[in-house]
Amino acid sequence: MLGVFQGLKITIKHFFSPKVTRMYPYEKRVLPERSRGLIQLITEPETGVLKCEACLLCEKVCPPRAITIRYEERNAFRWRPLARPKSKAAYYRPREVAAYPYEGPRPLSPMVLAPVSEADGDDAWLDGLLEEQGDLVGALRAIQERYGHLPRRVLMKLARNLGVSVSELFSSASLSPDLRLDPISDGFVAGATNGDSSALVLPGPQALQAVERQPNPSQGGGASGAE
Amino acid sequence: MTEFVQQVLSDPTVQRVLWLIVTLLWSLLFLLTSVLILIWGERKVLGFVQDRYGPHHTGKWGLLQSPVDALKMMTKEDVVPLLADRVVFWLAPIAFFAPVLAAFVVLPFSDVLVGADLNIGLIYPLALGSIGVVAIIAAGWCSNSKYSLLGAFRSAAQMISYEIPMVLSLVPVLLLSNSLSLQSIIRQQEGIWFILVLPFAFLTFFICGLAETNRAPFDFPETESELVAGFMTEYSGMRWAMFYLGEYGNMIVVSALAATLFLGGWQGPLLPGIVWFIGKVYVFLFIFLWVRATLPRVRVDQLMDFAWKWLIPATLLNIAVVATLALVFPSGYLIPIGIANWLLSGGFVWSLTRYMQGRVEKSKRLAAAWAPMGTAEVPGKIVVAAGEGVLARRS
Amino acid sequence: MSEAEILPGQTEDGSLPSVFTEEFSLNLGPQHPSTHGVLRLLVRLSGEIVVDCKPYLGYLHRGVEKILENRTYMQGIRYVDQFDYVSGMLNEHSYVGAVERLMQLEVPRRAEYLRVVVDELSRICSHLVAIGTALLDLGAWTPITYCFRDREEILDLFEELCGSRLNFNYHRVGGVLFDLPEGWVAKCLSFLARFERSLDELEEFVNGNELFIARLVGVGVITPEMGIAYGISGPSIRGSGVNFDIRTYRPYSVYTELGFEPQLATAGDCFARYLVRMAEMRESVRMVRRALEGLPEGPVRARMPHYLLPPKGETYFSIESSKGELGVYLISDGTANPYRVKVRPPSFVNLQILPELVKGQKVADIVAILGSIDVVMGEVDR
Repeated sequence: MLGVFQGLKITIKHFFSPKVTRMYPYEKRVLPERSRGLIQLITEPETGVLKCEACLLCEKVCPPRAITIRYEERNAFRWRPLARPKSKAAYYRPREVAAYPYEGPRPLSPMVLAPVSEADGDDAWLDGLLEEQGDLVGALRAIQERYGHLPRRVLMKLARNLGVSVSELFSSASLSPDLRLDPISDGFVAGATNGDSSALVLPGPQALQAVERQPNPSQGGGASGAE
Repeated sequence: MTEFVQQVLSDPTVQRVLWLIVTLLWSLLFLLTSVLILIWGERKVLGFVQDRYGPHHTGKWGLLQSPVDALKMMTKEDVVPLLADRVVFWLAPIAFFAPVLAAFVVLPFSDVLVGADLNIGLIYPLALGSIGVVAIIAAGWCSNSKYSLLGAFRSAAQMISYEIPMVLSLVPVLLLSNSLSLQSIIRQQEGIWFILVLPFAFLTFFICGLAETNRAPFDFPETESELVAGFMTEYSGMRWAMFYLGEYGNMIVVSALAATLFLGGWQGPLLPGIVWFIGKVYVFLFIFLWVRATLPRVRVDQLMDFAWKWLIPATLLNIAVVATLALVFPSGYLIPIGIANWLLSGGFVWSLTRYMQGRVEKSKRLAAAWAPMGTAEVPGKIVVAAGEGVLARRS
Repeated sequence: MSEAEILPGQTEDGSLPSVFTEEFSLNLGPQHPSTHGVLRLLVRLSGEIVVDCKPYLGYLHRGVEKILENRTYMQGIRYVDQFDYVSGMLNEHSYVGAVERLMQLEVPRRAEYLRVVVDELSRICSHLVAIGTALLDLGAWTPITYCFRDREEILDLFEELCGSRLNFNYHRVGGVLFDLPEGWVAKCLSFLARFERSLDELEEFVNGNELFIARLVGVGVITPEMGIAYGISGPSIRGSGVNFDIRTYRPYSVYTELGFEPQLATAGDCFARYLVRMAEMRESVRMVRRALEGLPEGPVRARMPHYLLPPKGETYFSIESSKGELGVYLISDGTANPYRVKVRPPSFVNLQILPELVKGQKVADIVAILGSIDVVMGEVDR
């Protein structure tokens, strides 16, 4: 029984020694630098923009295929607010001008940046368009004549009416040599145009000036498409 | 009016009845609050021993844990198994708890606060413990489940086996005190507390008390990892709470007996008697919890082995020695008895230790008879030649 | 068949014993506090004595070996981690070791030393869990918390090293992923000093305690012949005195340089296996100290092509995991995914001996024996 008494001695010693409990919500552990427990998208500290570029490499490499990225594509550089001179964020505007050789609108990838809502604009004329024109190509040409380009919003409505996907409409539209889609816009201006992309119809540098006159979206501005 | 009341109150029967009501209320109060404190204390003590705090957030120091637990048990659904014997199912928890409460009437909380100072006060709680065995068997039987039945049988066997050494270990106390009444036993300890004179009796009594109350290391019948919860498996909610109360009540009765018989009851210098008594009871309750936190379970057959082959001979030896010495030294028998008892407890502890170490040696000796086997005898590598193997066969 | 009806308990000459007993089946089900993981044991009892015991496996089968055939070698490391989830680094070592052996790749020396360090720390983690849970099954509530306290410190060290506490993904084909961060060696050495004192305390608690001796000594004796016949490896066979340890039998990594010695015990019962695990923990502490002190400079990862294309072929590589010989049989057909990864899990092989050991023992011994064989169902079922 001496072993029993020895055990009792050890236990009573632990009874009086300091406890190792960490009171979790009140005291949290400082995680080490390499700790990789929490998975989240992170933002750049200076500009507040998400670092994720939707390159989908993480999705491809994840062994249990646990990552899904849903994204909307952009057709230009990411719009960043004016950076302070000391910060490392690039000052994009002159670069954009320098890289923009054309004076007029140029064909671009068929997506726009701003969230597309189908609720605005009067598209009642769209319903009878197909019968009027007779075929899809004629309908698309009529849309382009009306707007100057093929707005995504109208295309989505047309696709829904016809029961096909938008990409099928695009593949038909790309047969035409003078296809024009929504022109270039600058950066992430979600909400800044309120769905009205008419300001973006202007050719390149004028579009830039129009966008310039828009307030900084990261400061919560939401002006309509300014002239 | 006041004359009438005074006349009524001076009637000894009325006084007796009022006193009984007071002590009954006091026992109930003490039992219930002690059980609440024990529920909290068990978790706290176990936690502290394990280097952690116990309940910490429910109330300051987790004190609200017990009322919350009690509330939880009261609001649980009362499930009765389909084929269970309903009457016995209803009666068994009551039959388990009632003797515990009945045993409180004889415990001397102070020199005046005792329900009834029976002149068989020592035998009375021990006898009531036997009724608990019947309640356990009834509980196991009426649940109509083989696990409950097995657990009940084991528990009953354990409790019956350990009642004998329990009673036998208290006989030396009786020899020293010449009376069975608990108050007079306490009064006999005015010179020296019996724990210093009869340490071996205390040791065996405490071990038997652990076994009687189904506490670790003898809690086999109610372990979670073996047969679910033994005879209490089919009970839920308040019925289970009755068993739980009964178990803790048993612990308190055993601690109170130990405090009375060995530690001098309510005697103590400055503070009132009742404070001393409650303090001593809580010391023993702490030892119950301490032992539970430390020791593993004993297997059932080893449990019975220990009772019948070690404790009963040891307690009989103790009785024989104490009685002989009391006869040999009619006047100053305390000191020889004390020396003999200390030697006996040392001998018991040492012999048990040696016996167990002997088992370790024996296992090593048995293993030495095996043929030595080293790395060389382990079968060697299995080499797959070129041209064999899955790919080669496939292509 | 036999002519007369033989009742249970009836002897050959037809006399019946005075007490008529009947066997019954008890299901120690997959959900049970003492089966380490989801193991189902169907036990036939005759009173208190066990007549037969059948383990039912597969509750944790995740099809990992099949998944590995559709993942590249590096993606597979994360799956191999989860076999023996209490000691992750050892599983990874076996897998990347198999790939390296197939490619005949030489790992930089610093990487080998780091591998030894994390492997031995993982072994300590695993043995702490094994001992803690084995003692918990016997009814002791406290040693498990002491063991887990020490394990917590090791997991903190691992988190600083590789970023995670359970799925380490630290070993790579050709080395390890990161080098040690600053201050890690000092933290590790101070932990080892404290840990040795913890081990002393645990030994004092358990070794002399008569109740532990009563529960563990003489229970579940594995004789060497029986052990070798069943293919037992690891502490279970070293507890019977057989000097079989892959680190000396078929040395891998730098164990021969570090002077490793297998720890043995003689009695072959549960107590001996417990003693072997305690001794192995001390040996692991020594190995970690020697490896950290002799850590050479250099890269921690071999230069490798970006896409890992091992040559066609097959190989078998085994390490001494905390439970026994953990082997990986790898068949590659030259593409980026393995053709077949077959794992030889030590717990699965060690579990076979359970029905043999519990025959004739009491019900309470089943959990004691299961705890001492140290089975982790993640490994058994994969």
